[in-house]
Amino acid sequence: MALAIEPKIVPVLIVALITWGGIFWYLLRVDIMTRKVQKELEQKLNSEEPRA
Amino acid sequence: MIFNVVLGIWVTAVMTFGFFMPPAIGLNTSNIMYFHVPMAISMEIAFLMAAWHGVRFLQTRRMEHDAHSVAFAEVGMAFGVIATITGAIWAKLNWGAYWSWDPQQIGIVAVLLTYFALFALRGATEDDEKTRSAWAVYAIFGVVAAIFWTFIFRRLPQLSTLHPPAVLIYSAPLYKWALWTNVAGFGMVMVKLALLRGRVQVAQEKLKESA
Repeated sequence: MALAIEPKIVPVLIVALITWGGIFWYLLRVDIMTRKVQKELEQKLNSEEPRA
Repeated sequence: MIFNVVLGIWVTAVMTFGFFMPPAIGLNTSNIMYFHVPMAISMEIAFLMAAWHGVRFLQTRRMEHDAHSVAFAEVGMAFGVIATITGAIWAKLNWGAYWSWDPQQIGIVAVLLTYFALFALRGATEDDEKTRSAWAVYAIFGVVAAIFWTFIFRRLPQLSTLHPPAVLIYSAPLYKWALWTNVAGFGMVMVKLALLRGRVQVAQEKLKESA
C-alpha cells in the first residue's frame, strides 16, 4: 500500500486543516473562558464566606 | 492545557496522514472521509449525550444536567453542519454534484432543522424550571429523530441512496485504523467542547444566583 498525496486533493487537505484549526482555536478559547469564570466564581464565593 | 496540546497535535497528525492514504475500495476520492465520518459519528454521540443528560435532569432536577444537555446539543449541531459541508464536498468529488437530494442528504438537513426548532422552542419560554423540563423532553425526542433520519430513513425500501453503506467495515486495515483514530480524536474534541461549554453555563448560573 503506497502512501502518496494526489495534487488535486491538496486544496481539500488545506481546507480540512483550516477547519480543524478553527475548531481547535474555539476549544482553547472556551477552555480559557471556563478557567476565568471558575476563578471569578471562586473569588466571589470566598469573599462572601467570611460574612456568612 | 497539556491535554489540549497533545490532542491538537494528534488530530492534526492523523488527519494529515489520512490524506496520504490511498482511496478506500469502491470510492474514487475518500480522503475527506477522515473528516466527514468523525464529524457525523461525533454528532450522533453528542445528541445521545444530550438526551442522556436530559433523562438525568428529569431524574435529579439538577441544573448541571440541563446545562450539559444543551451544550452537547449545540456542539452536536456544529459538528452536524461541518459533516454536511464535508459530505457535500465528498459528493461533488464522487457523484459530480454538491447536492442531489440523496436520502442521506435529506436526512441530515431534517436532523439539523429538528434541532434548530428545538432550540427555538427552548428560547420561547421564560420560566427557567419549565424551560429545563421541556428541554429534557426535546433532547430525548431529538435523538430519536436523529437516529431515524440518519440511520433508518435512507434504508427505507421505497428509497435508494448513493451513500456508501459500510466504509468503516470493508476498507483495508490501515485505512480503517486511520479512520477510527480520527473518529476517536474528533469524538474527544466534541466531548471536551461540550463539557467546557456546560461548565461555563453552570458557573454563569451560579454567579447569577449569588449576585
